[in-house]
Amino acid sequence: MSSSEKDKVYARAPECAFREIDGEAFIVSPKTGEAHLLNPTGTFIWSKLDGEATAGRIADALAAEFDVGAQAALADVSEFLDELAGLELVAEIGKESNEGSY
Amino acid sequence: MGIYVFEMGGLRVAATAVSEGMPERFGCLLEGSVCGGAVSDGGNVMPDKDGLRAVRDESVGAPPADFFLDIVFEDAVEGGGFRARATGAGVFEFGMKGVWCRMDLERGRGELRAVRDESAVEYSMKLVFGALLARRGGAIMHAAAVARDGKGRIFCGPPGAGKTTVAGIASGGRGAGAARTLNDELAAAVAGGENGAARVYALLEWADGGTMRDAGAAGPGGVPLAAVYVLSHAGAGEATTFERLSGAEAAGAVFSNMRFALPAPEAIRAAMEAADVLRRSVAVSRMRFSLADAPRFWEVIDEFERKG
Repeated sequence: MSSSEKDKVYARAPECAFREIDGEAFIVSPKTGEAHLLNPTGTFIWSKLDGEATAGRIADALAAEFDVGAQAALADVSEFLDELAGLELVAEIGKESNEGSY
Repeated sequence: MGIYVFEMGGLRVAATAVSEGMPERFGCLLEGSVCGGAVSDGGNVMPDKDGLRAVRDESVGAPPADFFLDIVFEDAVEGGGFRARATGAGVFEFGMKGVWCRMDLERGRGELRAVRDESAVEYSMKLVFGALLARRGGAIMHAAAVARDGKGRIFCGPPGAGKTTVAGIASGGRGAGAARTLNDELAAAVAGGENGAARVYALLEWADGGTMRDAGAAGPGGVPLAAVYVLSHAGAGEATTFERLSGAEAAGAVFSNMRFALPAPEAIRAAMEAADVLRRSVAVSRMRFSLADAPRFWEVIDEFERKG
């Protein structure tokens, strides 16, 4: 997985409705009205989408929470966020710079 | 001019037409009166063609309605596509071609401006009921509803899932007994309160030729709802199978089969909550139905429900 993937920052689509029930969730986009079911892993990733956390940081949290290696976690996070982006339920809002600021 | 009462899903809306133009088939409660905030029960039930039940009664003063709506008929109402928004806590506006409506669900009052058209009034009323039902863990569902031995079952699913087919089999096959189709397209389901069972209400439908189709089977009070089945077809050569849904999957299935929810984020969240409340009140299961099991439809259902 490239470092650029790790540095991507995603945010939930505005007005996307979310309801968590027993560790799983369903989310609904007002745009389509369709409900999408999230499994526990997807629900965990969704819960970390605060508009600031990078995919890499979410993957680290996923690896710590579930019994999964760092590489696999990042692959899962990236695939999941790509899928949600395709459904317009999340949007990539930037990348965290590694160069620091002055 | 006059007071009109609409009932759906155990709820009652008293509408005051403050100008001429209410379609004739909506029974008028009191001609030329101003809504006094109370209406009576009983009287003649005047079913409309697609789900709303207007109650006609000459007396007033008994139990209040759940919602009061002023209806103003106009020659034209600013058109546009279907849109909805929340303008405050529990306050929604929606509009479409020939309709504008504002509902204050907290205060239980609203205003509808509409052109003099049956479908405009009817569709608007269903949206009003959809919003009201959501606050009680209820919804208008795209579903066939069948009552048997005093219990209702809902069979929901997208077009082509087999709702009409199943409703026909359920009310006509072996073991059907007194089973009756309440409606094969729309049903109102409402979660039970404390220690109460969920209930299903038939939305009336006007059959070809102007006769009612099993209209009053559930009655205005509905029947206890025993189960919700999310229908799909079994694979070729496969028998009917069931899968009990729980949690988010059950709530999502209920939500996906809701109709007449406003497309505003706040209303969607309310509908999602209603779906969650409803699925906690009644068993929701996926049913992959095989036509080969049609002759023993109720045996198959009973067997599954016995196993729990």
